[in-house]
Amino acid sequence: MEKNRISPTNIIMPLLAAVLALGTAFVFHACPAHDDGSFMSCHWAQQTVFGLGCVMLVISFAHLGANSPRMKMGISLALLPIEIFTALVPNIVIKLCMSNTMRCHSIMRPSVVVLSLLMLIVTCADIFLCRKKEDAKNEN
Amino acid sequence: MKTEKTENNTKITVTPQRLPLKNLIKRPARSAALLVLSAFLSFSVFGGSMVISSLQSGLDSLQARLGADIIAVPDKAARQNDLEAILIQGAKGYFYMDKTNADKIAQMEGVESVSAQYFLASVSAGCCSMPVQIIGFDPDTDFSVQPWIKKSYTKELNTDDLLAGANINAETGENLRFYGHTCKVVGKLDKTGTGLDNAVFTNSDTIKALMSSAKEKGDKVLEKNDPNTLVSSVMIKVKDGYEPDSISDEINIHMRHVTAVKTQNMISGLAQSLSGVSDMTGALMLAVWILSLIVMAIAFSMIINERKREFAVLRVIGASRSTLARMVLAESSLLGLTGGIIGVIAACALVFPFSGALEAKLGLPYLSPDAGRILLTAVLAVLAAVIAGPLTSAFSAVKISKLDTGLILREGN
Repeated sequence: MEKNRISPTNIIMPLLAAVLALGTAFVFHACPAHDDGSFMSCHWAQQTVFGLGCVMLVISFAHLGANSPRMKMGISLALLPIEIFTALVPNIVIKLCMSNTMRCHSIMRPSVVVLSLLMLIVTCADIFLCRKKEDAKNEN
Repeated sequence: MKTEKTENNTKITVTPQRLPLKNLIKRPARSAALLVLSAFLSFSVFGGSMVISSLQSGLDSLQARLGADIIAVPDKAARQNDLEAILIQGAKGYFYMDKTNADKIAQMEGVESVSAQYFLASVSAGCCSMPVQIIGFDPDTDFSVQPWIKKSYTKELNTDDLLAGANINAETGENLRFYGHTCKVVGKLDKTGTGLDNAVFTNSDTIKALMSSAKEKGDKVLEKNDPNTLVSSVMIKVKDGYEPDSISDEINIHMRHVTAVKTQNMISGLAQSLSGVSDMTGALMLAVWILSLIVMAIAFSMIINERKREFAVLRVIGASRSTLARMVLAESSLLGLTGGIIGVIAACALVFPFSGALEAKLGLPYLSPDAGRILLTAVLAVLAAVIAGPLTSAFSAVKISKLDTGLILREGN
């Protein structure tokens, strides 16, 4: 009987998505609200990244639960555009604050970009591994 | 030479050249642990070197940007280090003194040229902004700002035109509103690694108009003064053959409420702080390097001990003593190379994107070095990790080459 081994990418993907979603909300969040309670535009970039992180987390869990390599590959392919879009949200899709020394530029943006790119690399590695598994399955 | 059977019974040949790689792949946990150590080593070497180089580049950049030998500011600003805060840390602030001070300084013996500068900090520049430092200069007399802004913007600045520092998130053509006065961003300046990156630059006419708007809006500093009679600082260039010390002493003794700050003193103070940070980073790098070498040497020694029977079998099937030693060295070099590359990539992902946070934390001028220097440092860091591998496994390689095959194989029975 063929051993159904879980590749490390199956675990790393939901972990990174969780770090991205929760980290953006609580650790490397955007600039705080003004004294009058109003938010700067970076707050909405943070909310968008949080939402996208949650979407990636759900998809990553679906990926973890999927049995067939072909299905896993499909789910990973669906994740790719979301990851690219997430990396582009701070300052490109949604403009951040005026000075690059502010928290949204110096902490939130690099964290989101690095985590999204890491997620992108892991997803690509997963697609490669799934493809390999699928090819091996077809040969047998 | 060694042959092995694969799952579908095809024979493949394993040469001593391919064996080290196969050994590493077949033992993923062991290889991963050693990879992490090598990566950590190159990470610390590359990351530490980049921080030190960036601080040095920042200081050089500040020295080049100041341009003047002496800067004259109001007493109060000098006492509170306001000028250094604006120029180095990118703080926002403004202070003024009487314009006639600039004329008096210009007439002093030994002064080659003077140019007045005007500072103003905006309250807010739109819906989602923090205050912005505005620096005005006189295009006719300026010798400190224009030489370096010419690298990014060659045209003349018209009224209501602004040049944005590298840290200002505004694009060319964008309008910025300060004190109800709309200005247009006509260019973006290159990064200098100093507080000047957080400022916008404009000519004296525009900043005087902005100062008048601020006065109309009830600014407390400007309310009792006419903006046309004020300057914030006077940049002074000393004639060849004269000492900046004597000129600054003359200003400090003979001019009331004015303090002359020698730029060289400002630079030396910063150089001292930088040397402290660099020494600490260097010591940390060395400590990590030595610690990693010790841990790697222990790890290799333990691994070789554990693989004694494997080496004895290789000896029995014809591998020479030198082949075994070469195999151990090849394994450690491969680990060093891969770990070194991973470490440099990890350091790049941390040091460059977070340079803004690092700059803010250190409070010192910080400018990433040029691509050539980065590449050279990366190659050296990987090389350090590659050298560390064979260096730490050399003792184990010698030990394995002296292995008594018969004794090892009998030990197992």
